[in-house]
Amino acid sequence: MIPVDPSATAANLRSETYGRSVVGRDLYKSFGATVALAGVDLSLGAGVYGFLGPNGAGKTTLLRIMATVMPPDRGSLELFELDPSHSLEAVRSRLGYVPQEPGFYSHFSVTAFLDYISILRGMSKTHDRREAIERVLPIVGLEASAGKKIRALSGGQRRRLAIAQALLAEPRLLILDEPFAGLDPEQRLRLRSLLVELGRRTTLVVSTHQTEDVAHLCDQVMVLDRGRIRFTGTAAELAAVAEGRVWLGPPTDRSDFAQALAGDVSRHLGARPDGREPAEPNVEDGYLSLLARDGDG
Amino acid sequence: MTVAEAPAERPTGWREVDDGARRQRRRRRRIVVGLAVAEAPRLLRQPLVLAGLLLSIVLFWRETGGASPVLQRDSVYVAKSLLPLAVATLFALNLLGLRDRRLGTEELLAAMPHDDRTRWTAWTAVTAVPALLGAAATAAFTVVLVLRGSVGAPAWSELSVGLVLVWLSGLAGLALARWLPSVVAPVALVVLAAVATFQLNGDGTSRSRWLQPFVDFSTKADAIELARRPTVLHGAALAGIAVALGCLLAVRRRRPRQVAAAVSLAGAVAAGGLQLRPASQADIARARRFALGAPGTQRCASRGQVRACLYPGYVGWSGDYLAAASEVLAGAPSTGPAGRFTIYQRPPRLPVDAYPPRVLVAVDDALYRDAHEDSARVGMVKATGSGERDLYFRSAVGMWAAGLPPAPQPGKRLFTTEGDAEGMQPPVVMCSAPDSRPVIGLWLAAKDHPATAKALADLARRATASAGTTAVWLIVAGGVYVEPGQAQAATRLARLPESRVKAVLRGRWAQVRAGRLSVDALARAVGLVLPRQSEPRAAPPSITGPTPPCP
Repeated sequence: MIPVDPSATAANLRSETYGRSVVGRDLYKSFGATVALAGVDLSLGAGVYGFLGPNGAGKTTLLRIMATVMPPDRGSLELFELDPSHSLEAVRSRLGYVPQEPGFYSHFSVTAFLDYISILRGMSKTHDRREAIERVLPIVGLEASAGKKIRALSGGQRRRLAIAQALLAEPRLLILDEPFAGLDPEQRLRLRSLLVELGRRTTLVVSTHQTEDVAHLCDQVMVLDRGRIRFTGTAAELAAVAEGRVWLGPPTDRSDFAQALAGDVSRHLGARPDGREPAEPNVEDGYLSLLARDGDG
Repeated sequence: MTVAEAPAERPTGWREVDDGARRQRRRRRRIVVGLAVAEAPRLLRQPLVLAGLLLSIVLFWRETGGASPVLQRDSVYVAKSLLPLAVATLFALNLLGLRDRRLGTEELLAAMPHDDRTRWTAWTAVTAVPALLGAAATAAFTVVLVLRGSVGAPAWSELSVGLVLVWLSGLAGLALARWLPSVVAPVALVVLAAVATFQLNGDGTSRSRWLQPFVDFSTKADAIELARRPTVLHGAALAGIAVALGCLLAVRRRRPRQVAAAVSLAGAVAAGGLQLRPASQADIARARRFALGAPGTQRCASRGQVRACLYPGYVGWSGDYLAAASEVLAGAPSTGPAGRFTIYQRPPRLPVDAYPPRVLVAVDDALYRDAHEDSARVGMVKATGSGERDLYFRSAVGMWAAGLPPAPQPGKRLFTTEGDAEGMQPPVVMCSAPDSRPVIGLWLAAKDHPATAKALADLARRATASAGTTAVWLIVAGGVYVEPGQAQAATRLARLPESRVKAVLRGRWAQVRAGRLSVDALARAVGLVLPRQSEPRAAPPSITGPTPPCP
């Protein structure tokens, strides 16, 4: 395992703990014999956090626990300096959550659905709800679809609607599980811009497989693997993990991590093969290198 | 690791947000109200609910369209008409309760500030919406009945049972969604309820009867119903179950929820138990007085020599009876018999075998059902009803004017399918008069009234159409056994100019009333050619002995 944040001493971590959105200690969760989280510690303040990891790494479980949808088996969690088990309503009123596959009342219109969620979020006055809806629709770019039935929306529009419902209560913490899944490149770019914007005013936690999105979006990146956090740092720091291990050259089958870039040039990760030139590592290189190195022991 | 060590103690300034239970409850209540308000219009627009309402309207029309409207009786049918709405409500609320599961929004909503009990409470509140829709339908149905010229007053306890059923159905749909989340469950419940209602009960004496949620209100001439199932108690039993379900679905705190549910269930059981109590001797005596003591329990009105007595719910019909009877009597060619023609309303036929000695006979409920079918004592039928009903009533008056008895004669039991062992129902007795009195009685009934004349012609044609048919249909015409030939002669007589018939009868009226003017002599006198009569026909098997001559 790579100690990527060596400067984080106990003293300065303690000082950082207060005023942070999420502080988790030794979070553990299992489903039968499968351990989803094996003792995760984390502390999230302001900014955009990206959770990377292969399938089954525990990203969704960790996000669900942070969203208070699921309690950990062990460990403690504080959100906004509050213990969710004692102040669940207060905690939830400050967070917005978009699950990996958010369901919708497809027979509702966009406005009706947001209105319903607003009520659930405690907005009892019609005027307040209308204002909130009018505020979030432009943010996610759904003003033109306000009257449409949800069943008539595209995948990208539904994803934005899911984000809109999470923004209704102006959350301090916004948790998005795989927000880019199933989106075409244009929709991805649009959503990425939206998230960059949102990240300026709230703590944003995003889980994704897309290292490119993380590189563009996140101030901090965390890599989860087999229920543990393997890396915490900036995107540049993650890329630096692959420093001296990325090479450009003609395609070859020898490397497990070969990636064709264009034409007869491919990107190789690992020990320098013959006839290759060193290359600048990117986030994906760092991520793959991290997992490969950890897998190698 | 990012966090190497957790803070051992909370520092000064630690802020636990706790607004207090009361404020939290107030917030929750606001959300519940908000959700209920948001869900209510959607539920009203739900296709199932709309279909249920439509079927309820159809059922109402079917149940009440054929009979003369009587509010007290028709309240039962109005409540019964809400059954389709109740079933639709059950399914609609079940779908509502399963919505998050069906559409996969459970995880999204799980992160909301208030847990799912808030939504269940709101949905529980929303069950009032179909009940209110049922109330609106009930009000509309009642208005329709009033506009149709109903008499009497609505039976509020019967009407409320319909509303409770709709409410209970909604709660049951939600309860299934919560504790037995499957689309099959509500179907199974409806099937079970139908089986319980139509099979479990059997002859209506089952002790599990009060458990039947969807009671078949129809007494089907089984007058046990009201005695064994007083409507108020049935409504209370259903409401008790509904409140218990509502408490379990909505109330958050464990102890009040359990206490409220237990109290409600206890109330339901108590109401059901009371409902099943056997009738006391006093109850039976009271019912007997009600059934047989018409002069004491009915309200009378008079016009000239006619007096009409009706049970309170039917008093509005008095004018019709008085007018129709006066019209028939005024048509007689000479002065009628001395004294007053009295009309009593009579409870309908009560089957003998269905009444064990300790069972209270629900006379009043049975009274409302199919009252027109057998009016042995004259006056059960609304005088301005269909032509056939008019004939039953008017011919009895006509018979009396012609000198025949208007009602069966006690002590001369001939027709054995009537009457009961307890003496609640006297047997219907017929007498025969081969002379012209039945003919003149029918003529008096039909001559000024086209609908009656048509009904008479139809019945006469049917009575003579096939061998073996007799005119027993005229059993209700005051207990006079009318031969088909007499009915046919009356039909032909009605086609002649009234003045000619009257002139003939005026000179022979004393002879007519004494039973000394034969049908043939009457025909000859007015110039009527009658078809040759075949052999006298045998009496129907239901008549057990020789028909005695009318006095």
